[in-house]
Amino acid sequence: MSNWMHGRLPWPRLLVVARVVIALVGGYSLAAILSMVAAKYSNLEVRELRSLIYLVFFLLYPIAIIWLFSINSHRKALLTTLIANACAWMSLYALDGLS
Amino acid sequence: MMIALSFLLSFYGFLHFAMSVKKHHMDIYKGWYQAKPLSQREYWVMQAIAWLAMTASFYCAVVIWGIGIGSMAWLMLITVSALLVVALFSYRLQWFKWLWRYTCLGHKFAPPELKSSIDHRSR
Amino acid sequence: MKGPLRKTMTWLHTWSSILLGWLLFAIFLTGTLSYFRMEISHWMTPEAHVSVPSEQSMSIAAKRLAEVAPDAESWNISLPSERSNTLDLSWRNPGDNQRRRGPMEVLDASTGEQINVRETRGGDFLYRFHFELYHLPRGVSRTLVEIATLAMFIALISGIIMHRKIFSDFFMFRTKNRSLGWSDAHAVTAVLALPFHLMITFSGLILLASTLVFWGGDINRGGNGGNQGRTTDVVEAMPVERLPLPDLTRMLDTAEHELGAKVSFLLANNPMTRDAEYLFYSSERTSLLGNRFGQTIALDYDGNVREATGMFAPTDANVSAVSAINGVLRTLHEARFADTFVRWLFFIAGVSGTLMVGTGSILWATKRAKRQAGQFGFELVHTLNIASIAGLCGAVASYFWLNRVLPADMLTRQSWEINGFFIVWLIALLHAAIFRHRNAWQWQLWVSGGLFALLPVLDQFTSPVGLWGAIVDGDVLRLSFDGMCLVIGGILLSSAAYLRKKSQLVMAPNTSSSKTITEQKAITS
Repeated sequence: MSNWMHGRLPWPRLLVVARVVIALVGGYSLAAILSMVAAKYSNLEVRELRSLIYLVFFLLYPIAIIWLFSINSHRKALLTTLIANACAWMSLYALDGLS
Repeated sequence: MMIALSFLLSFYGFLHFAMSVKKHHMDIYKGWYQAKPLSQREYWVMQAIAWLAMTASFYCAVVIWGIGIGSMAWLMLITVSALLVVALFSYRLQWFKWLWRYTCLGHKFAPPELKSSIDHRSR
Repeated sequence: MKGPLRKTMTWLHTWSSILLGWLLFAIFLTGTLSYFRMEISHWMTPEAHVSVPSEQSMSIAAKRLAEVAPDAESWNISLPSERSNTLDLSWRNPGDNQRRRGPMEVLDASTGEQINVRETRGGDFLYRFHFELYHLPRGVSRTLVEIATLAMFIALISGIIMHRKIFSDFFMFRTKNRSLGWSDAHAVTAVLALPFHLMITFSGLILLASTLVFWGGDINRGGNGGNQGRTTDVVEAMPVERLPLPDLTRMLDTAEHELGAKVSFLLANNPMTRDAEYLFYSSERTSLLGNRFGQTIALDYDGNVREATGMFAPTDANVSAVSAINGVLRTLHEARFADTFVRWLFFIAGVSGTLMVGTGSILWATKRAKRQAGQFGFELVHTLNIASIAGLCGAVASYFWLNRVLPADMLTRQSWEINGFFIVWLIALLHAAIFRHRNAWQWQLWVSGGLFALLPVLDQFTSPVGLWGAIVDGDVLRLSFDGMCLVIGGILLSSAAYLRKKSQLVMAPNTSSSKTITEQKAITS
């Protein structure tokens, strides 16, 4: 690993790219779904739903990114994203089914 | 008027916060008294004074601006007063020492060895 | 577990902030200046400096409007207030386009003389720049700003995680040699103003949220545009019976009495008719809640209080928690409630945020100077650091200078002020690229700092009212601007002086250790 960056990560360069993608994309979809779930779960007016989605999304997205970065092994990070996303999707569909 | 009071109180609080850090404590007493590490009791006294002053300053801000605006304005206010404390400490240590000696508990926190020697002389 | 976490957080902190660091610096600097948006606009129209607020403003306005626009559909009267010294009138004639702004006039608030102000964008240019940049498609630039804000938010959180120790030891600054280095400056400005940083970044994220959260199509778009409550239907112009002008000054007294606050704006619908509606609006706020327009009160032709309608209609008292939070965030971000003192507090917090971003970018370069000097990436960052930090400050200062130096009646002067801004910035970039190893930092900081610090002098000589006059008249707006310039100029000049001291230390190497020399070389080169 070259010393092209300061706070060196314990992973090689290509894996860093992979991790960035995992965190950005996986975090985005996770936060998006969860904020949709929150919107479904609440019974607010249409205009306020949007505000709720914004609030929840922008609270969750940075947290998700940081969380996905803080996991040590790549495989675990990948699995975590996939499982978390799957769970979130499922709960969204479950809520849809109820309503 | 209330604003000035709130500001001064938070400044006073930050003075004590700064002094409750061991390293700063040593820096301040160097050349004034013989420096002696901060004792646990002294640390808690300073923290208590600092927190009390901060609470009082927050109360003032709420009285002036109301709870909503007041809490935000207070956060900005303590930012500025903390910056002032930092600036004093880094660039004007003598002034800081002076303030600590004459407006705060400077003398009370004097290291005991020297305190006793002063007492000895006066006796 | 602790080691790797700290490492990843450091990495995340470094890279999320450096990639968009220059954009962030520009956003922070222009955004901080936008706290003084009205002040800047006032300063940049020196013709209006002669206007002094007075008690007669309302009657002057009423007389003037009854004279020039008796048949108007609506009148707007903007009274002199804490944030404007002039009396601004505008009106809409029947049949005019509702979206377009009608004719307008700026009057001297105590004599009623018309003032021809020079053409300028004033503080609005900087305000717009801080979230829409310039000359880019609106969607693109807003998305870019939003991404930068998100990066900033992540950098903040990861910074907090990696330096948890700072919070347990609230005041642990390293005071080596009694002077603060770049990293100390970075830590101090970050930690002390942390509540402000978190607030401003998160509310900024929410304000531009629609650029990243574009899904959820089943939910109506909205929430972002502010003018959507405005009706667009064109009202047919009908001849109506005109009545004599009511006593607006007395109505103003009534309204101020009812509101318990100073009124700063009056909107008159169908003035001088039977179904007239006079809306008095106060910008004073007593709580963070409430809609965009602060408190309003409506009076009819006879001066009796009635329900306000349209976009001025009072909002429901029981708003939900979600929209309350949203409203509070917006109000906080724009510091709408702030009086002069609180505005200055916000400004200082904003300056420390700007310093945090700037010193962060500098730190990146200084830490790598030894290992990577000569490499393309490092040289690029180094150059861009100089141009985007020192150069941008110089560009802003020259925007203000151009406003006063260009002839007042010049054609297209408005666009030349802005062109000048970008030309100076470009020159700074070229200068930084060529002279980056020969004190470009120091030079640009000296020049920009000098430009800022001399602005009050320029103000003294190019305004019809001197600075002493401004103090006598109590022109807080203008004095705030000049004070702001002195603060920024002082910071720039003192960092230039700091760099000079460092480079002199390098000249005399026996006074410092080898490790600090390389650091200093990096800073001064």
